[in-house]
Amino acid sequence: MFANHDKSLTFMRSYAPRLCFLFSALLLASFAEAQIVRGLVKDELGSPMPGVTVRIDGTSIGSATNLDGEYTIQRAPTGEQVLIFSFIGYKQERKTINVLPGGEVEVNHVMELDQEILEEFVVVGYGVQRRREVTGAITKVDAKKITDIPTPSFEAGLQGKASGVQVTTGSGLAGSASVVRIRGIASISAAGDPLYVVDGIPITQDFFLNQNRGGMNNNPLATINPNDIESIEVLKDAAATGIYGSRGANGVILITTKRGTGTGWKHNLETRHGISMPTARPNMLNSQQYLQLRQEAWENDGNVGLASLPGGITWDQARRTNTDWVDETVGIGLKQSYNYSAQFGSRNVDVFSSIGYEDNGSYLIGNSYERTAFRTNVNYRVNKDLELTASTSITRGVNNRVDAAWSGGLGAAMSNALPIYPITYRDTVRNSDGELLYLPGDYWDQGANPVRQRELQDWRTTEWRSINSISVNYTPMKNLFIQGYVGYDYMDLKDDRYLDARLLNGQRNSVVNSLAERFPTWVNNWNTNGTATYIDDRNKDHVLTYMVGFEYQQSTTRAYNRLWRQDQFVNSSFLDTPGLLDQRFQEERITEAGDTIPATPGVFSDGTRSEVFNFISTFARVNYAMKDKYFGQFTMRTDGSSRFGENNRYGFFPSASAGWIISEEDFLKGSENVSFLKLRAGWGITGNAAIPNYQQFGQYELRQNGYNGQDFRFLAVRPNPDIRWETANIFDVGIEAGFFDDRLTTTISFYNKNTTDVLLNLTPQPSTGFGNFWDNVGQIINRGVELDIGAIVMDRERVLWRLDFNAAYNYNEITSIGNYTPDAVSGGTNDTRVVVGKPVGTNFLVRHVGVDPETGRNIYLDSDGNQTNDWDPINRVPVGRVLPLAVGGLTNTFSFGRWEVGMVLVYSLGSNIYDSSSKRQLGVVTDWNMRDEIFDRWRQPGDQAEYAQLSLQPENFGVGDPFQLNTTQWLHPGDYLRFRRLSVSYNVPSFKFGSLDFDGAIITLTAMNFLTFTNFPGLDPEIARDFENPTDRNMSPNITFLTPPQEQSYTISFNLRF
Amino acid sequence: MNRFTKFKIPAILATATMLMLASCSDLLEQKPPDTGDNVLPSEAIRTASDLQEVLISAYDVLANTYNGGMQNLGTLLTDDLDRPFNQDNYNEIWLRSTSIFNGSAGGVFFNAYIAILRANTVMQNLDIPEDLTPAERARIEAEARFIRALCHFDLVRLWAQPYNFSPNNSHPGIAIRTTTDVENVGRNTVAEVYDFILEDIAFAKQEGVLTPNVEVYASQTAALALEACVRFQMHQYDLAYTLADQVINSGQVMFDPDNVSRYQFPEAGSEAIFYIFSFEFGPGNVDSRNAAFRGNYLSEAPNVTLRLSEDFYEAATLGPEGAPRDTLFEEREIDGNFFFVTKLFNPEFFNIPIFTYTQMMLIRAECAGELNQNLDQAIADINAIRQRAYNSVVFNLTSSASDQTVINAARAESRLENAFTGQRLHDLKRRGAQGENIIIRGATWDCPGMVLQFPATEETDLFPLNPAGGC
Repeated sequence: MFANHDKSLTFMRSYAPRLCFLFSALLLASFAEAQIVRGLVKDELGSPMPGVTVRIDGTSIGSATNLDGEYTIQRAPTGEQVLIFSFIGYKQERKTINVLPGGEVEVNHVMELDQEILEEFVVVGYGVQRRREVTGAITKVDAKKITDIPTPSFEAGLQGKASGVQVTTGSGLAGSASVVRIRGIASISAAGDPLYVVDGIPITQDFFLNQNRGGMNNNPLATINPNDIESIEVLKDAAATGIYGSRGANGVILITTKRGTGTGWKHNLETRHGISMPTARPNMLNSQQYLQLRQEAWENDGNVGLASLPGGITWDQARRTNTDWVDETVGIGLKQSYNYSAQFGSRNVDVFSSIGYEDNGSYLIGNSYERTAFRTNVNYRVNKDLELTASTSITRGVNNRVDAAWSGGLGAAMSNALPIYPITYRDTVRNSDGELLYLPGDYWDQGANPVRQRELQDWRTTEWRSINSISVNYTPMKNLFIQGYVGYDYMDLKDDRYLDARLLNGQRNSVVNSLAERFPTWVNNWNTNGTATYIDDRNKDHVLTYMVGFEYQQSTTRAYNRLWRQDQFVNSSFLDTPGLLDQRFQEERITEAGDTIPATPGVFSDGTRSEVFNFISTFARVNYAMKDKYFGQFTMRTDGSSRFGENNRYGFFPSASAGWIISEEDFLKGSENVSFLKLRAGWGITGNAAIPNYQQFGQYELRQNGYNGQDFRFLAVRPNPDIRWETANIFDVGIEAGFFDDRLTTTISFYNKNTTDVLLNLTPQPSTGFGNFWDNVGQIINRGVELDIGAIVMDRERVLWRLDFNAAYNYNEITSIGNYTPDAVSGGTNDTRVVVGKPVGTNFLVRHVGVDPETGRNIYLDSDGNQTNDWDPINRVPVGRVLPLAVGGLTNTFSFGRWEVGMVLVYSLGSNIYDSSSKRQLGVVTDWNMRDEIFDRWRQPGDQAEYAQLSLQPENFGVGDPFQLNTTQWLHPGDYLRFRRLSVSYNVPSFKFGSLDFDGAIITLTAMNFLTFTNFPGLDPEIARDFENPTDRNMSPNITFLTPPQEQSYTISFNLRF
Repeated sequence: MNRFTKFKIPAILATATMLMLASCSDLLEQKPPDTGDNVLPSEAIRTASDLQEVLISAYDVLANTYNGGMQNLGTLLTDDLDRPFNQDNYNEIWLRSTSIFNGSAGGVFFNAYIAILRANTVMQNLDIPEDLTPAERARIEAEARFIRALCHFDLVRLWAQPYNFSPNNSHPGIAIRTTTDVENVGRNTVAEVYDFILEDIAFAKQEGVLTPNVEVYASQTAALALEACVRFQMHQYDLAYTLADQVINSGQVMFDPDNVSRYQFPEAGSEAIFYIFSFEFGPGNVDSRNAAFRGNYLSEAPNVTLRLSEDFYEAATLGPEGAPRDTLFEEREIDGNFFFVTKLFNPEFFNIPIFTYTQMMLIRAECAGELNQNLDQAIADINAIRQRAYNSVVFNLTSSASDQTVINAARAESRLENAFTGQRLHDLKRRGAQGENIIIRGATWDCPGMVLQFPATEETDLFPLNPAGGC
């Protein structure tokens, strides 16, 4: 990890792909004579070295050494030739030989380590640095770890692999977004997500472009093909993120895509097939059970006769029906993916190109995320001073949507789709006037019917995404490097839904038309920057590196609030007829470019939204290296943004840090036990600028089709000329150490982050007529410790056992919310609040102490701790925390010859889960189905029951509205330990198939999320709900409301290299 | 590298940076693009037409407030409804224990104040459009004041104890809002709120400012009708009588002898004085502004949320079976459980009158009884309404009916004719404040739960909530 030594080389070599050029040799075979060049290649220790590329310069004729280090080049051209030996981590070397016609030449060679390459490099903001010189807290996650499990989106692959990075995978919905938090959470209303930078461009990362439609937020990261990622660097402290200024406070995730390397062509084909299912199934009541309990509640309420049933259902009908709605909405998801990539490397040109298709089916019937991705990255070295780099990716992500959570589907199966409801009518139904309403087989529509909802609508979100960049690197003189960069990130997001007329009104006498609606959004995100770097290494003991740069970013978002039309094409759908929706909109001349409402009735636009924001920045970094053991870094950035108020136009963000490689000191040098020891410390100020646009100016909104069909406009946002970024003051100190020749490596970091000017989206008095306004009023502390341990537990001839463990503890506290009350900012379902002295996202609940054995009523505590049967919001107290205290992961990799077993465990400790759905699943008997735990209810005096006496009347629970019943009864421990991955792979060595040579293949069986240990009584302890807005996303993870559980999957993948 | 270079470089860089950025400030003035629906405040109101659009925005939210949402809040507190079937926040209101989180009450409260905010936006910008003629300026201001008065009136009736609950009406009312500022304010007294309402109406009803013609916007006739309701609520029966009489005799509205339902479409009917209009964009394509009525009362729905009390149903179906009013109500039965529903809100589209001719007749009649004057007119009014309801003269008052008989008849008819508008609650409270012993579903008219609770964030040090605990 830190030092150069032969163990790591062995490790690297065993993983390095072997190179081969046989196809070109074959091509030339028809006209070349039968000259042979052969030989033996050894490493610096004298061992035979497999996989070394040996090539004849100027041709594509070459070979690779076999396991014994031997190579043979057939049909070498005659005359004087230059033989090139290359292998990653070793110096490329050239040898001149003379080949006679029909002759045979033997050339043996000893490879020499390339010290510079072997140093591990990490990507930092606007550059790369040697790992040993880094003075900030950066965790690097390489490609293999990102793609080791099939996740809905690449960021989920980070879970458990980087200390201090809390990844809560999105729910079981296909393509869903994870919640990623670096070192806790320091924002309340502004987005608390890290800044995502792909190959230099801060990408569009708004999770609310599609709002919360259907119980899901759009995931702007899902279109990134994980297979294209070379590495992910997670920048955590101010020394690392300071260079990103006003956007670095919540950490930065740098994504670097693959580049062409080595020499010649390398190909990689990977396929994956698998199945998925939920980690847990809801245990809802069946029809008989539901009727029994409803009748019991009815009688408890003093009624006689049969209980009235929801949905206009009679008892006779109810008794004849027993629909298992969970079965109707949950199935087995099918997954398949195919990725082909080719890499080419040569003296002047490197190319990486890939094409991939993935169909990631979730366990929800009808739900899958399909991604078709294409990427090409090219490096062209014009000459030794000039290099051009271009990257382009085009991705089409199609989310075949279903309703979830509060919107229906499985959410309905867990709530208001009762087992007494049928899927279809059995009999003909007429109204009192004798009109035909339903025929047998028509969908039943008198209550929730998730099957009808799914079958009678087509719903598809299509995202076209293209992330591109061009850069020019010029070296006008020794040690001066100038880079110019332009990046462009384009997003075209269309959420299309077609609702069959029968869904809008199922009765056969209805004249309701079908409805087609589209929610289109376009984002154009431009970024350009330039940097100049000068390395002053005249004195090798005092090397100074200066970097200065500027950056300009502009992002424009344009969206229709909705385009819709009602039509009579009942029997057709746009999924069956590709382009139908486009065609229908085109007919009315509502095009992407047009903004006018057509005169023709039938097609409507609910108005458009158009926003632009920009950042203008300058930045500088100075690095100082003394004798390769003392390092210092100073960064500064000045950001101006259109989002900042005129009174706070520019922010200045400095950082300073230092590192000391103690192991280079005489007293440790040569130590047998301590192979590496570094102390680093850093301080800096960074910001979070995720402020909605135009807050500084205020805003009127213009709308069409208002009252009496008139256009209208209204004041929506009051100006706030003082609005500014959140300011994080971060201190970090860390120790990095390697022991026993780096067989054991460890990093421990302590940090303290004080965030001030925290943005709150405050709710003023409703009588102002304003819903919310933004202001910088809060303060938050995050402090914590992180630990990474890497160990090679066993390293025998054919057995290698590697263990990686990480843990992170984070303490989070809100220290101020200005003069506001906890209710001024709220999370999703009215259950989390901002309370001074408590963490962000504190559950704010009435305490529930149990069920009175004598009366069967719930007992609550008032604010003074006295028992009461009445639920009153005035008695809410801060309890529980949605943020875990500790998260981490443990990865074990066992290699036995060609077999490898990998196991990843992840854990989360110290959080609570608030199961908001339980209010109705286990509370008042309503038109929601209940869970079978409800059988433990009070029935007679003396009963020690978990749940109160059944009743249809909320007042018997001390409340008027069952939805208000937020109590600690539904607050549960959220600790869990999960087997995230178990995989078994077999490495097939290089082989021939017919006339084709292959470098190798890997077959892997992977089980994901197959076992979880938890005390949480609900479905799954890992919860990222659908969120309403960034505030909700910050404050209410770990709140579940009909949230689909995580998926478990079993896949087989096949990787072929040639 | 000398020391100078080593330490001065960052300083030079910083200086250069600041200089460079200083020239970039204009670039940071990113304003909403022309293509979108967002515009800066400084550019939003330039012409009379822009100002008219702001006024429309007030109507727009008003239409979403009076789509049944406002009306249902009052009705839920009366004896006209049985327990709501869906057990949600309507249940909480019906139980007279509205909490700070009640979404229905909070939503209507907020919407009404949005309408007020938009009316205030209009009034704050009256001086800006240069093309605004004096007549247009007066008209726009009068409409804004009408909307502001109407919303304050309904808010104070639902979120505070009624007029005359305390001597001098010094009991806490609601916040009067006259600006577009985001600042916390305290509770005004009920007296202050009523004074404010009357001040706005006084402007709106001025001769020649608003058209007397009843249309989809506020009119002078509507302002008079509003004042009639306000005066009636204030027990100022003489003024109420005069105003109701003025509306009735304005010639702008007419008694409709053929329709027992006030909810008509596409026209609002001859009786509607001010109404929430549902616009028809094309055949079958209507921006139905009736969701809270239709969604809760639809008699054909499998789970009718708002079901009538037996008492109300009996009163409403008193006449011969098949009589016009009788046809509006229905008794349903499932598994031996009976419940009562109205078919008033079954049509897919309908307009929602806020004031009607019949309402004015009944105010005039009750006032006549209270004043013991013009009883002939009152009896004629009541009989016209009854004849329409029953298609018969059997239920008519005799010409010698006493003042109390007239009052009782007017109240009984008001309960049925103004059903589900919330008028019943306001009438009961008015009578309670007048000294009658009014008990509604077992609770006194002025117990804490008969007043809705404010939304959580309305509470500040200056703004105490209503007493909690229900009743």
